[in-house]
Amino acid sequence: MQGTYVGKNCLRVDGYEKVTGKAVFSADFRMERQLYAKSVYAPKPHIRITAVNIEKALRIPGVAAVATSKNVPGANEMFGRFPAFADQEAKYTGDVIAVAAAETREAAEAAARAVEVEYEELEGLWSLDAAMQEGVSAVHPDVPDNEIEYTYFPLRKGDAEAGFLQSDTVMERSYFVGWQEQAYIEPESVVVSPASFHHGYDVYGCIQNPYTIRQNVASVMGLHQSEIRVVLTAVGGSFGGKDESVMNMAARCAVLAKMTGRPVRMDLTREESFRESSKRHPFRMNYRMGLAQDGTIKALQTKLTCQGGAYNNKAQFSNWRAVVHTAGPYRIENITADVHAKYTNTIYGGAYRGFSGPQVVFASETMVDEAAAELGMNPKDFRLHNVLREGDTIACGQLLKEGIIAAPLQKMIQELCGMADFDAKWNSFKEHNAQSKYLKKGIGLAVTYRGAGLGGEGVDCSSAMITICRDGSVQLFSGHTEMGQGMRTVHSQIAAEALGIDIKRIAFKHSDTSVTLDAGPTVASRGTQSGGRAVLHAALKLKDELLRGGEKKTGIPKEQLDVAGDSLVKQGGEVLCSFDDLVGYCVFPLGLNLSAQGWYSPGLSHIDPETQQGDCYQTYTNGVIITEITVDESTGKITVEKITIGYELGTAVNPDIAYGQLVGALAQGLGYALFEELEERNGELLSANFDEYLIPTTLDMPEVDFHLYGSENPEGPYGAKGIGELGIELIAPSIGNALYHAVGRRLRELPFNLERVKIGKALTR
Amino acid sequence: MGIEKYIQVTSISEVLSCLGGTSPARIICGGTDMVISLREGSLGEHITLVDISRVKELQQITQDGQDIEIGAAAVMADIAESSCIAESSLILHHAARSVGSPQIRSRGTIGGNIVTSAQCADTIPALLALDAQITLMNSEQSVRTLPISQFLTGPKQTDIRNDELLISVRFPSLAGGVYRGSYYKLIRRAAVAKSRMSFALISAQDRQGIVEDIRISIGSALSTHGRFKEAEKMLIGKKASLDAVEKTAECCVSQVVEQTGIRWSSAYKLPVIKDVLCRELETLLEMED
Repeated sequence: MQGTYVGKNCLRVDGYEKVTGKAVFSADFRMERQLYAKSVYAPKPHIRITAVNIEKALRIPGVAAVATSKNVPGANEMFGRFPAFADQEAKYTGDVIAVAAAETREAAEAAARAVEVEYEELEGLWSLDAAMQEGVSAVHPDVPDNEIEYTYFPLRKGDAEAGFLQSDTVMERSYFVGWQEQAYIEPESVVVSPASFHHGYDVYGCIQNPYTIRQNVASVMGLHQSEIRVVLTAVGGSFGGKDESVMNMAARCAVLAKMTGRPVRMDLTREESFRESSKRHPFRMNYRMGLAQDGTIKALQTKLTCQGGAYNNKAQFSNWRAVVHTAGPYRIENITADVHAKYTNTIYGGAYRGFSGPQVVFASETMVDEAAAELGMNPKDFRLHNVLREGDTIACGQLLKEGIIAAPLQKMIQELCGMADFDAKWNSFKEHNAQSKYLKKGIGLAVTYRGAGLGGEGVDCSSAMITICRDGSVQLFSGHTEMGQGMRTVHSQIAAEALGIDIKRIAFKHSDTSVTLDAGPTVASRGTQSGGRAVLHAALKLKDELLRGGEKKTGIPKEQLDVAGDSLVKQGGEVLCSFDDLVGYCVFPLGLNLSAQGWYSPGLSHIDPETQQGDCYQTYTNGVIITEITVDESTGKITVEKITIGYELGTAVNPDIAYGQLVGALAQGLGYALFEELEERNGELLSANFDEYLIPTTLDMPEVDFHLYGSENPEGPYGAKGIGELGIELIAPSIGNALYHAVGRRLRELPFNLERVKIGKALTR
Repeated sequence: MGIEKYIQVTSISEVLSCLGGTSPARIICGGTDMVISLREGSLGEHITLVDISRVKELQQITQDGQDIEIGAAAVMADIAESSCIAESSLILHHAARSVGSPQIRSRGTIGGNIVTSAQCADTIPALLALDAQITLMNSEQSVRTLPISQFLTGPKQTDIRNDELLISVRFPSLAGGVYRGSYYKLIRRAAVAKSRMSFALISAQDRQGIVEDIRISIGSALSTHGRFKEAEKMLIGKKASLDAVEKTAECCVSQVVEQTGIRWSSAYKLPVIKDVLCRELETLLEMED
């Protein structure tokens, strides 16, 4: 849709302060008398702690306090089993045993070094494959099989065994992907202060999910949630990552704020951020696919196993997403899929843009390509033969129907392959490769559909508040958070569109849990799709009130009035008065309430827990990628030359921001595909900064031919769908498929680094 | 970061006066390696730093007859942009241009690259191929000159003495002659990453295609930086052919195995050394049909 603001490239409402350096990030935020906190990490990844001696640390000049589990006033354990302070045992390298607070950063560092931890080293479960063995040690004694609670989900559709019996060919493949670090530009930082005006604590920082932090800090402090206030500074990227680590940091700093009566700040170094923050979950993904000779996928069986790490509060949700998407966007009548998650004595998995999507899309889109090759079919034709279309039911049984859930993939594959000249290049690259000794060219295809929003992961609720001030200026609050994704701009566009006012009137106010309404976490690409609905709800309520005022002011029935172009207008467009005058009249003499709360919840999804059949997501977004690469056979180096990509996302409220989101995600996906690998040895991280953990630079990004496809989405505001994560999923399998086209070798593990491409395996130090 | 004293100097004699005595100062110029070490605390406590980044005498790139001389404090950006370097030693131009990012290149110096002597140092293989000479001066202002191949004594080790300052690096120009060169740096992404390996090659052939000179140097291959003289000898005096090139590359691989043994990275590096050398030599040399 194209409106006055919706569908337009409005400038970012928070752009000016960011490009001029005026935005206050957490590390810029200072409080009077603040102390600096430094963590004492587990000296070895898995230990029994026999004694913690803080005496020497306390004697260091400038040290105000050293906190351990003994100082926790409430519960030491948070959601997902994260301890505020490890006491009996440290279960992974990022566990914190004590935190020192001091007048200076240097004194805090010296004190942290002076804390003596006595311990016995313990054997550990250092990998997912180790945790999948029988009879191994338990990371948590009360979970002897290491199966993370509430992470097993079966998906059943049709009769998989019967489907395999009808198949002419049955293929089995195993895929593996490891950790991925979010690599936000700003490392974690929080400041916790005794509250200025009431009992309790104020938390400031770069935080993705303020209500989660509030809940867990309250529990650690033995206080009510109403006594904890969480205020966001500007956030320098999060991508799902600024959640568990800032929760732990805020809880530890709150304990120290109580001990000292002073504000306590903690700013992580990059190495600390790598050590104690969440990563994308690793997955082992076993696929079995039954095929008929004509290329029809008859049956699919998958077994997915997620590595949770030492603690986990996300696998409960990401595993569900994984199993629902395991079959990819194909019409497969018979599916059996199971997903599990395991504890290990390692760093832990959490949210990273895409959640479990990039993992299962890598497996399923590689599997589909392998199936095409097995049958001697062109991968495009194989996909066109099997891809979902209007009238089909997807893996969880939802019906694809125009105007409800779109089924655009068949058309998108055809159009985008045409634009990328897929068929011609498929042949010409093979001819080129027969002549070229070292440099080989390949072209690869991948396709996805992605449930937008929270879906069955929980009950999606979003909140907003809009207040019109007496002078006609407007304050907009959202229960969701801005992390750089552009949400404030998109929400402002939706509010301005609905209210019929100039967007410049709107001031987007800061996130503050003492003001905003609990909208849950800003995750799952729901800031626009669900959060935008709450903004729209508030704006429409306000508009109704304004029109009631207009009716009183003009004597014209409100049904014949509208606010448009910053004025009160009569149907047909005659301007009756300015917006300022309308607001003035509503305030005096009418005394109307020019504040409105907006709320949106689609309610609980109805899903059969034994089969995952049900209304898993309100809607789905779609994507198709064609990737061209060059492979240097002498070194194993892949260069991505060109990407042709198309996304279907309903209405793009701000096409420039949508482009930034989708192509930014593509860059992160490129890193996942080619470079990013966290090396570990017995639970210790060997790559803990950007010298060893390589993310892409701008020079690694290829030419991108980008296309947007619209569709109807009755659930989204002005037809919008959530798109924050879709862009990251497709590139890894498309590069792998292009690699196979180029050199005839199939890699089933990420990343496709020099060693895997050249010699088929990674090297360990 | 353990820094006790920071001295900013503007002349060589000032630097040298800081180097004598029992606890000599550490020299810092661009700081692209030193700052990382300082942050890690690996240089210890109570450090005196002498900042030579404003010593103009050390930043010159000059031509003296057939020789090119580069001051130790010349930054990579200046070397990459110097027409004198591009004309006299294209492989060094490419090596300097491949360093890090624009920010790193405008701070990092050739002297730092040589003295740090990291396995992945970008300019060292090029300087080895150029038969470069190192000039040092000690606190008593006496000068010592030696080939870079002798100066580099081991992994991150050089022959520099506590009271010595690296003044310059010098090599004969290859301009206007029969020389050709190639520099290939293998990195994991397009830029701003440590080199996985780097290959510096220089060749000269006569009109009949007989190889008169070939110089091979590979970064991150040997535990001590050096040339592949045995392999070079195999080509000199012969016409280049696919077979000769392959044998030369295999000889280089043997030298790597001989010097470093089989290491965790060998499974990857050895085939890469062979294949990249073949590829580069095939392009560099006029081949027999």
